[in-house]
Amino acid sequence: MRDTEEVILNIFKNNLSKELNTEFLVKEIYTQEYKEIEELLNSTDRTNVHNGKRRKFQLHRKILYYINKLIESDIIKVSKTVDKGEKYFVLKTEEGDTIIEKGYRKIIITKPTLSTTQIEQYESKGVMRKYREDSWINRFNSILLECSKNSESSRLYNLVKECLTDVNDTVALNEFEYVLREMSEKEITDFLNKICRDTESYDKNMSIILNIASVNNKIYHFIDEYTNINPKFVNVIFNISNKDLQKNSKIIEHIIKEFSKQKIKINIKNNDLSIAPYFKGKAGIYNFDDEDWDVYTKKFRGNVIGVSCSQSQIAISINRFFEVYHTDVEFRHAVLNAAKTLLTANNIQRRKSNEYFRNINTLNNPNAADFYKFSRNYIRFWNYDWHKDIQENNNLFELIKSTKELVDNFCYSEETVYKSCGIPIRFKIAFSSAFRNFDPKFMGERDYKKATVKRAEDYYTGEMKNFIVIREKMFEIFDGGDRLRIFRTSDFETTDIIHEFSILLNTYKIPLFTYDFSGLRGMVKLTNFL
Amino acid sequence: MIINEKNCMDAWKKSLKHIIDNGADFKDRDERICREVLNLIVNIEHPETDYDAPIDSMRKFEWIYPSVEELSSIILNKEDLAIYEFSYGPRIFNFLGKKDQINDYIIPLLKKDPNSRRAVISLFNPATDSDILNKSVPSLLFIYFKIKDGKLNTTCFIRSNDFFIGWPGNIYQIYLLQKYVADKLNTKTGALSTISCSAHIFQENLENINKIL
Repeated sequence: MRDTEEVILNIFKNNLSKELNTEFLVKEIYTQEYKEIEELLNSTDRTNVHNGKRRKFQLHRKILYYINKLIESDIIKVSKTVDKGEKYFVLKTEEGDTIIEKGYRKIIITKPTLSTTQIEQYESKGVMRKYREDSWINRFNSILLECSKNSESSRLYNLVKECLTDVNDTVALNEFEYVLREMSEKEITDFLNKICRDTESYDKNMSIILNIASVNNKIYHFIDEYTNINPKFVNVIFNISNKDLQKNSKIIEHIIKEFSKQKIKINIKNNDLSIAPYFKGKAGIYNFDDEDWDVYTKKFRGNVIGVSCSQSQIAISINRFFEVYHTDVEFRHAVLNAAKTLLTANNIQRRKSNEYFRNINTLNNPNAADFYKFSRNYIRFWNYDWHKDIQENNNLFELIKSTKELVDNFCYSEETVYKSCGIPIRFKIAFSSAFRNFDPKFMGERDYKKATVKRAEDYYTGEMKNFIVIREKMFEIFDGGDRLRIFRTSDFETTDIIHEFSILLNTYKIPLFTYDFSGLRGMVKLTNFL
Repeated sequence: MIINEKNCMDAWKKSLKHIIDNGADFKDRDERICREVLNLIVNIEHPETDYDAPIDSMRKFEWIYPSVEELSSIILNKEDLAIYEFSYGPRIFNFLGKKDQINDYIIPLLKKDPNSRRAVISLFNPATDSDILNKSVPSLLFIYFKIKDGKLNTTCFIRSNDFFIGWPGNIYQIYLLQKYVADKLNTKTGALSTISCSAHIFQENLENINKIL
């Protein structure tokens, strides 16, 4: 009996970053028996299916007995309960090394020790925050999976499910057009339903990235199903160039019609400005450096299931920072301390990478190292005075710009120091803006000016031009990606919106913009789409 | 040029001074101004007295120097961590997943024949490292062990050696390996020597180097 409890503990030890459910434990512990049960469940004979269900239930009950004993002993705890009361469990341990030996063989479990002394003072004053502190070291922050290599429905779904437990924010599915080509309409619907359910269960985001120029006719089915589900945690990024906009106007009209009807945001990435993917998490926008992406596609794409985009991240509330502190020097010092904390976090990740990222390493075997090659960390900024005009903002631009240079130099020096000591590391920090969902409690209310557009002519007003120019400048500093959010109000024809997209794609250097229809009153006129 | 000193700190300072005074400047691929001397040999008679002193000195500066745990893990841990392109430990203790060069070769060899001149290990793998597109290639190429007067002497061959930032870490790591082998052989540690093909410093570090000197 004690043996089974030890086996369970060892499974938790080997999956430190994961929340495990009963089914996972049953499969791990009774592998052979579970295979037999699966065969029975897949049988066409009703008696066999009935027997399979009965035996599966018995195994679940057996494991739950031991799990409950471990819960009573205060060793594991319920982390969450999802659909139909299904429970997930995690180890109930403190930071550092935990040795469980009371009645068991000695089991040493290492949980990350969070070295945060450099930013403690800022955290305690509510101006700085780590993203999902409990898992900010032992999980990836965001990863991108390549659909071109994993377009078969069950393989892709299994990968997604595996990866959702290994990230603490977002999984992006790049070149989803391959999936549309490979899967049947029914498989697309099933896949969408499953990922929408899973992202909610795991409280993670997912970005579906589609190149409009390469989609087939199943895009219409996908759009209809997606907007019908209207998922909370799955967004779509449409990669478009100005040329694509004209060539694929029928598809884009359909997207505008269906998305606006459900008041779902449309995210457009300008392919003419950036070749690297952009995607959207809870914490903010993610992207890859264009040069890195070029190297990745030429040398590594295809060796791996995808690529890690980011490891750890910290947000800074700028308005609140300057309520507590008052000088630029203090700001630069604070951001540099955040960078040092990220370096420390990366050091732990490196040393424990085989333990924390075991599943991902296995999935990428024998090229596991390639998966990490383009990963960065993020420092995100919240509430940085967009309601002020450009002149007043100029100081802030210069401050963020000079701070970015300081952080880049720090990263370069550290890479050099480590490489010189025989430790070939990659250590990069990207700047970006934060979303409120980074941590709604910490962020508080958003303090910025909304860009509202009622018609295409609004883009030619001095006020709007100034606004977008500021954002263009910010995009240059925010190398981790950013987005321009346009609130579209008033009735429109779909062709009006395409014209507005064209203005943004042609006139400005804005790699990603979002059309938000939440301000629309009621339904858009039916005649608009006839 | 050969520099002979009793301890690590004196050897380090003398080498830095030698490079400053005799080195030739050039720009590296990152456009950094580098001052270099070729084929610098440094012999440290008693590395055991202060093998960690140079890395302690490096912690006084604004950067974060790798922790002693990470430095020792890099040289002594045979586990191949996926996150590194390469790591010294696996190349020493599990070369190509096949050969523990220390426990399966050096130690049995020197136990059998304490006068052997064949006790050399390689950290360079031409199959993967001789690739012009490869940006991360080991600097530490070979380590040679020799028992003399009942002590284990160690010599390492380094192709490219940042003497200010890298050498302190290298010395710390190699001494740990020297001690590991000496303990297994029940001998004492002897001298530690480095042969650096390109021994260099960077202009941007001159101010800090002068603080050490």
